[in-house]
Amino acid sequence: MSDADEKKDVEAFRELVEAEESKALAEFRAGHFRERLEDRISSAAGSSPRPSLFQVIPRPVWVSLAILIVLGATAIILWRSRAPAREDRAAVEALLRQLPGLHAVENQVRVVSDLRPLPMSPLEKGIASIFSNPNASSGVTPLPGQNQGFSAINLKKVPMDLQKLYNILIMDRSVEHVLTAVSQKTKEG
Amino acid sequence: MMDMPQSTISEKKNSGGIMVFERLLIHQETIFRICLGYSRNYVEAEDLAQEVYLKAYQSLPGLRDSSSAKDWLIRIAKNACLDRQKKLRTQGFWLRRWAREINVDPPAAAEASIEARIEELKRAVRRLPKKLRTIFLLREYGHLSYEELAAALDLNKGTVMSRLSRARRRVTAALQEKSNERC
Repeated sequence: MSDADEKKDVEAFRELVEAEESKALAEFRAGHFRERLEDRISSAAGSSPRPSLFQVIPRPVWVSLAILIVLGATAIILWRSRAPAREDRAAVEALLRQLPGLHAVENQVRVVSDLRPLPMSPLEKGIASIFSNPNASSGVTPLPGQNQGFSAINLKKVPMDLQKLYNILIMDRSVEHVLTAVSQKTKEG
Repeated sequence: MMDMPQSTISEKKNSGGIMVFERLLIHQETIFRICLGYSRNYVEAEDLAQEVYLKAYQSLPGLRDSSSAKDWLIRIAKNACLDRQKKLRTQGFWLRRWAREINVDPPAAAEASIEARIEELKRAVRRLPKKLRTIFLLREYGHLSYEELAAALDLNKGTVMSRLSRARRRVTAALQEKSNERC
């Protein structure tokens, strides 16, 4: 850009700036700027502005609060994203329980634990009471419920814990392995 | 709380105890002119100039080098003016929105009076990017030399000159455009 162009540019607005400035400066000079400034400084000094909450609380507190909010939000987001996983777990557990192998193991265990003695004949009851309570023969009456024996066992059909079932299966497999190994050694011997 | 002026504001000193507030008042016209460049009218400019001096009065104890008092004062003025413009821009947004809602007609096409052209100039300056606007106003209204501009804005002289040239070109182009619209 040449100097002539630059000069032309400046001329375009210099006239306007000078016009505005001369008028404003005339008012400014007659306006007692200094006195009004003194008044303003005095009034500003007299009234101490009430500090806002942001000024009162130190910055580290705000930073800590911000960090807490961010952590809280992250925790909520993580917790919410894990909720479907729990539902998935329930679905997988239900599916596993439907498997015939697992079902069989559970039933086997339950059959053993649900064993309940058959109703006894009067003779059997008599023998059982003699063995369980030797004092009966000496005329002492048995305490109520004592002659019931095993019949008190009554387990409810609560679904077995998957972990327990897993342990049983593993134990079964281990026993099977040991037995196979022993039988093979016996055959070799 | 701020220091109370005891008898007169001229007693206020900086940390070295040398600078008297009175000396800062020597530059009041320069500061006023800069404020005038940033504001829309005389009243606003005077109010801004007072605000600049009030801020300077409050922070005077922090001024260590009294030889750079003018640059320091100009920096305060520049920041105060930019703050005020930012505030006004937000208010202006809501005012314009309100005016649209109640169907207030915009001012009729300005005749080519000097006031209207000054208004056009101000609008063109307000549209400049902040860096160019600051240089333009400090130079054209504040009458600062290139060296003073460089010192006040922490720039080198070459940058000052190139920015000033760009600012002038843009302002001229905007004014030219307005002038063509009128014709």
